Amino acid sequence: MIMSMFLFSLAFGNRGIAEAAEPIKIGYLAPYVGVFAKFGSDLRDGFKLYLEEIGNKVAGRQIIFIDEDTEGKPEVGLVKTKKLVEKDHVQILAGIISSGVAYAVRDYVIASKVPLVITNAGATKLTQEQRSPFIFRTSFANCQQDLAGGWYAYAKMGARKVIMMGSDYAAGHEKAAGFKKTFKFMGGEVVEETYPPLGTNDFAPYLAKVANYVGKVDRTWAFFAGSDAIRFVNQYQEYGLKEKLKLFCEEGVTDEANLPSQKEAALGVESYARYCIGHDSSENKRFVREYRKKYNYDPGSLSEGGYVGAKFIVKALEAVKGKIENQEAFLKALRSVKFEAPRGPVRFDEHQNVIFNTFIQRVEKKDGKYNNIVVDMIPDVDQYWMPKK
Amino acid sequence: MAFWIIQILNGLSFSMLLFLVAAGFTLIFGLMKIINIAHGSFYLLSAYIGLTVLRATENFLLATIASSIAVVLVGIAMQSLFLRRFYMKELQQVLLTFGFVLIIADLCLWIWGGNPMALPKPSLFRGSIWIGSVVFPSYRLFVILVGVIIAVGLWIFQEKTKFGAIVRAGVDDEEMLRGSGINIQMVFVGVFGLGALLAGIGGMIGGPFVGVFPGVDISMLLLALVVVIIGGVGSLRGAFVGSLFVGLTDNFGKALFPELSLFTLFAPMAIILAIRPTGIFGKIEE
Repeated sequence: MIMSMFLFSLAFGNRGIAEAAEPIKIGYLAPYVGVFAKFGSDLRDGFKLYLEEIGNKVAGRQIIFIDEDTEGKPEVGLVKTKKLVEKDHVQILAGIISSGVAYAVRDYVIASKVPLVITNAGATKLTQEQRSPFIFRTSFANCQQDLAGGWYAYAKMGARKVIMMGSDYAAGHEKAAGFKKTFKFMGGEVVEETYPPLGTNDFAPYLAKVANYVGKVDRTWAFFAGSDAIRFVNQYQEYGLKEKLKLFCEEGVTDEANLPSQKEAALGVESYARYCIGHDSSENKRFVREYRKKYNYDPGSLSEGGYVGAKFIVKALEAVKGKIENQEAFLKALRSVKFEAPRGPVRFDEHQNVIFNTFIQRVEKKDGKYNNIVVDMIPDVDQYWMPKK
Repeated sequence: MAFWIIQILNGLSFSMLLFLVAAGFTLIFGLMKIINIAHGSFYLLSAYIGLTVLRATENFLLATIASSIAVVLVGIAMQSLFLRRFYMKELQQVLLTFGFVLIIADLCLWIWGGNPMALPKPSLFRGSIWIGSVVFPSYRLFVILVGVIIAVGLWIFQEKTKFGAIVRAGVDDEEMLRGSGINIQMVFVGVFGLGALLAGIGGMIGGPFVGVFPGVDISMLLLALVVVIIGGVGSLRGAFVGSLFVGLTDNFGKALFPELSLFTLFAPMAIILAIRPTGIFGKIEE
């Protein structure tokens, strides 16, 4: 009896050890050249910060992080995803900045049954009409904080008429639609919409048009990401528009990643955001301190996004004791993860998209440095959020 | 009214930038029949080198001089070490210059990274100025001024100086020129260097508002090609008129029909080519 128990434990114990020794591979997709280059490295840095906090280990298994550059292009993103799955045999995919890339890899990810944890791209349909048990999103759906923003512009800022300027790709249109939905629902009017291409070198032609609306509308809504946002905000000031027609932006426009290049031009600009560096909580203060210490620059919403994405994955892995091979159990565990993130409490809705508080923030200058501070907060915003009239 | 004034000034400033790039391209082609695909790479290289010097010295003029010298040297090396061996062999030249595009782009990506950057403006032109009720960035007016000065300078060079006369003679009949005892290889090197210099100045001038990033080399080359095709290959006057045309159409196209911005740029080009296949100022081959 004792002998057989010994043999039993030997047989299964060994198997357990063998399994534990095998590393877990996470494939990471982000752009490191082009419009989204800085966002891409912020997202990666945030993700790696959390992995380092847990010593790159979960339940005794090593985590291997494999990084690929999507260049922000859908076709490149798909090729790199295939490489990660077929050559590196990753068990989890994570990352993705651009909604265009996210849409491009969807079908392949589902067909190859590798869970994808999107840590930025807001491609709305991926957690709505085109959702899948394999696709999770820990960042936001395009429209999510925008729904809250549209309501806030009308109800709290008193804006009645706006003009809208967004980047001409999936995210630009989806975010604009979110803002418009609640702003119009409340009774506001969108007078004009313009969508310059992603990677616009020069916003001058579009800005001359904005000048026509000075005094006629209350706000300019804007969404541009990465280097587009830097040029847009700087040129908005150069053409003397900043004081005459205030901006109310999506967070990417005046993200911490852009502020060192925007400086004075961004000062006082208000935006709505899933994360604000100025949020007063002990978890956020600790996160900002650790991040600054490790990377020597300020974390923005992308940095926090990467960090939160890593934590969602690791929490789920902890819940199944590192047994990623039991995919059903892992997906189930991932769906029920909730914790206090730097941005505040986060959890998934039933379509596997994250729910969070939305901040209203403003760029302020303190000790010669530009940072966003919290102006207001709208609690528990999900991707279907609607205001009461 | 304000809208039209701003748009015209925007268009003019962009036109002048295009002229700097296209002028060098058309000069090189006119004399040597080289389609220099790497012309945009001079722009890229100059802007990056200028950025590095600017960060170290904070002196825009010094940065311009340093980056100009660098791209002229690269241009001269390209012509005298490589392109010279493939004289009048168009296919080989195109392939060779395309190789340079890839090498220079990858070197720049390696050294300066993939994050788009903008050159800081010269401190004198950081602000905006009021023209009546219109606010306009003073740097763009400076760009227009630089463009006009260089255009006039090139005109004087081509029409009034001996070297200019040699270049014109070379464009018309290179064999006769050689027969009259001119060292044509030196002329080629000189013109290639001049072309690189113009594109390099373009990189410095364009750096503060177009920026510098992987891919800007190809987009500048494409615009320069459109300019040269519209204006007529090999003609400086054509490059000037073509730049004005492309700069203004591009600007008004984006402002009035933002969804059709590429269409408004290429449709007029197609129409002009249909009516005048050699461009506005191009010579009609007999």
